[in-house]
Amino acid sequence: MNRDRKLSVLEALLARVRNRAASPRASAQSASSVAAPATPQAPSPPSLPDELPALAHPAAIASAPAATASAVSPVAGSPPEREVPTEVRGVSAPPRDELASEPPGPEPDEEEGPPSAPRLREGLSAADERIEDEEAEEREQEFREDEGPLKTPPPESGRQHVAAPPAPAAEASDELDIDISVTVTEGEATPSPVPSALGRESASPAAARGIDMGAPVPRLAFVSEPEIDLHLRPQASPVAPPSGAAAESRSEPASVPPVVPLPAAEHPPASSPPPVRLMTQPPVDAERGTAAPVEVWASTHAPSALRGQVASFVGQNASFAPKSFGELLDASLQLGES
Amino acid sequence: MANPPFDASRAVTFDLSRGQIQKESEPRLLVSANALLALCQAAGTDATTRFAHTAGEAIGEAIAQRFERAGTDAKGAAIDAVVEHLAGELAVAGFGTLSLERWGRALVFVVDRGPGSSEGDRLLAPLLASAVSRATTVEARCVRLDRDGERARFLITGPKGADKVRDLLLSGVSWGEALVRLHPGTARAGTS
Repeated sequence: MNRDRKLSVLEALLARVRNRAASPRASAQSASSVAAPATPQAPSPPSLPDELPALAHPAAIASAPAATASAVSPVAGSPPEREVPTEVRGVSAPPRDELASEPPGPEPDEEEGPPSAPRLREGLSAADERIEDEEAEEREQEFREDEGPLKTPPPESGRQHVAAPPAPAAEASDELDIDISVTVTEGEATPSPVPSALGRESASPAAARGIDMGAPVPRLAFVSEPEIDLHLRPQASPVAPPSGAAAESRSEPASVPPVVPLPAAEHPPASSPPPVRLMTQPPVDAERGTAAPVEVWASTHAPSALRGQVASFVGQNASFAPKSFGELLDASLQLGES
Repeated sequence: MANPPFDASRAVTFDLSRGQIQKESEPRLLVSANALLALCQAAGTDATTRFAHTAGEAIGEAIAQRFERAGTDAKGAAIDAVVEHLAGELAVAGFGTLSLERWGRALVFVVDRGPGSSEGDRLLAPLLASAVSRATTVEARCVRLDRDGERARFLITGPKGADKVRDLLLSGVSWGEALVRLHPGTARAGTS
């Protein structure tokens, strides 16, 4: 609030006081009663002259008019001296903005104020309230400019200064885009499936912590270790079931636990039809831990010429299940009849 | 009816005071395997086959009687039960251990640690055929498919099937391929 406005308000109030003083009325009793709630010093008129210098303190501004009004009410009838306070106030007011809104208490004329001091005090208090409201609005504007938008504070907590929200997601994503890098190198032989979500999860915290991402990051894959070992293992290690119960094992491929590596020389020629192959899980070995799944051929120790015909017997065994020795004997006796 | 179990107790009785060896009240001779094979080799194929047929019929007869006493027959019995009796009889006689393989519809006997090698197979094949034929009252033939060390495989089939397999084996076809070609539907594909 500017000074001119305050001065105008004070001048208007002073004019009203003067007008009241021109038509005095014996209302000292009512004035004290009005001022009593605002100032406890009001009921002590004899000590007022001694306390007048202290009224210059800003904290006593509101109570000063009341005390003055109650004290000077008997001597309020001196109109010629009314112009002096305005002049003094005009000289003394500018250096003290805070006192500009208060009535000139130290002035003798003001001490002998009219009995309408309560109304002046009301007007001054109203003016002060308006000034404070305006100043509060200005402070609010400053808060709005300095800080971020106010979040809804708890109703009982009053006004709060809410800290600025975190940076927008776009800025964070820009930073992460710089840090997240694809770490696929050309030297990798086996294309293990790397989940993109997992990669992002592993790269983002590292970037947030400032970890150097220049070196290749260890990759995570869903492929299990046995599977990797199986695929990385040389293909020259197919396995062969035992020769003894070859036919019986063909009817039940899953019941072929022992596996023997077949030498490369015993591999069937490329021109022969592919033999029956099964992927089986060997029983867990206590010493070696979890065993990798192995590929089992249906025929093993049988001659190479027989290996190519295993599939035929697999189908025959599956489709024919004799219930008695005689049924099997009859079937075997009928072989070659057609 | 439950299949009768094979009981080897008191199967062979050595009456040393009388100098007799009995099996089911039938006198036996304990001779050297090499001497027997030498006799078979010297006697020729027909004499060896006849000798083996006679031995096999005795085995089959014993098995059939056991199943008859149990109120059933060997043909209608379970495969395991018949194999148990056949293997027991061969083991008591000293002809090795017998097992059964089923290659598709083909019935194959596997004899491990039989007498001799190829000479013993000439004796075993007619013996097995006669034993099965007598036990099940059918006319079966037996063809040796292969021998791998102490293990020999014998196919039990009919007369036509036996002739076909022999021809295939003589033509150089492996026994596995011969079995495949013996099966219906695969013979044309195998020969073509």
